[in-house]
Amino acid sequence: MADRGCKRIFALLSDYLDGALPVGDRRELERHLEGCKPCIAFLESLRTTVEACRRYGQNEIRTRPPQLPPEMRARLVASLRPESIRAKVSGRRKSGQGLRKSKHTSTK
Amino acid sequence: MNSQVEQALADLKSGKPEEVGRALETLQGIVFGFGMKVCGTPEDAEDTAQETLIRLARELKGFPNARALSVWLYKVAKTQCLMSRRKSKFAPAQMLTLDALMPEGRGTSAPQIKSWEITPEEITLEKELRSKLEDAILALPKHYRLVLILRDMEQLDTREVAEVMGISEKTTKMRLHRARVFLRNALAGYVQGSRCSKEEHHG
Repeated sequence: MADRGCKRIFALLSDYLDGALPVGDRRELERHLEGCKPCIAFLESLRTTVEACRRYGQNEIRTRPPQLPPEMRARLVASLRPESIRAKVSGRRKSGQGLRKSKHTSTK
Repeated sequence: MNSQVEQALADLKSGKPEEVGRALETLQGIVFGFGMKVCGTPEDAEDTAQETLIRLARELKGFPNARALSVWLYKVAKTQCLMSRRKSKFAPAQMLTLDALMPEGRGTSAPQIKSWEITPEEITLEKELRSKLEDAILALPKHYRLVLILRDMEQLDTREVAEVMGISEKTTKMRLHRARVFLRNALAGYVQGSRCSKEEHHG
């Protein structure tokens, strides 16, 4: 196992996991992996890490944010309706003006 | 993620107050979740979500598709996160080099790691591991952290991440790989350390 080979392979592992390696690089990497247990182990650990990140990301998306203050929500809804947007695009007074961020509503 | 944004865009276009309200909540949830991961505190995540929605209301021009809306949202949210009051929580800006990240890496030696026996199926992201993952993410320098979160957690593709970050796809891939290896190393220490402790207890 050539050290230089491992170092080059190390730089390609994420692209390999993402299926983004050009064919030539992918073949070179797979040939290297056939004879290099440390690189195989590292690849698997990297795969596990990426999977953990994806699961964490999916879980976090389900976290409910604090509710927007009612007045702010009402203004946002009014501003985001298509007629308001058309008015803005045509250069009329911006309906979003006057919106201000509320104080925190988080309890944490 | 895309299906959520697609639905939100359809709801916005409907013009019905209930559906626009639902779109607002969907987009708020997406940006809040992103803010939680990037900033690490609910206060900053809430700031990020509110500022982003206000900008959306002020600047909304017809988005042609969900992708355009998604990239716009993350761009604005990213900027808000970087401006958050608690930005000192960000790890200091620094370069992560592959040489430094290689296990036992001095640049010339082969990776010397113990075998990582845990499989994706075995990881349940229990509280302790999840907390370790969060700590490791927050320890990443911000430009690496943002790329990792956008790509591996928010599930944007490389081109979208590059667009949000204002960098090339090549730089995006480089940062992503280094961030992943950084996290892998942080979690490897935790998993192996836990196992060593266990073995010592039983030994």
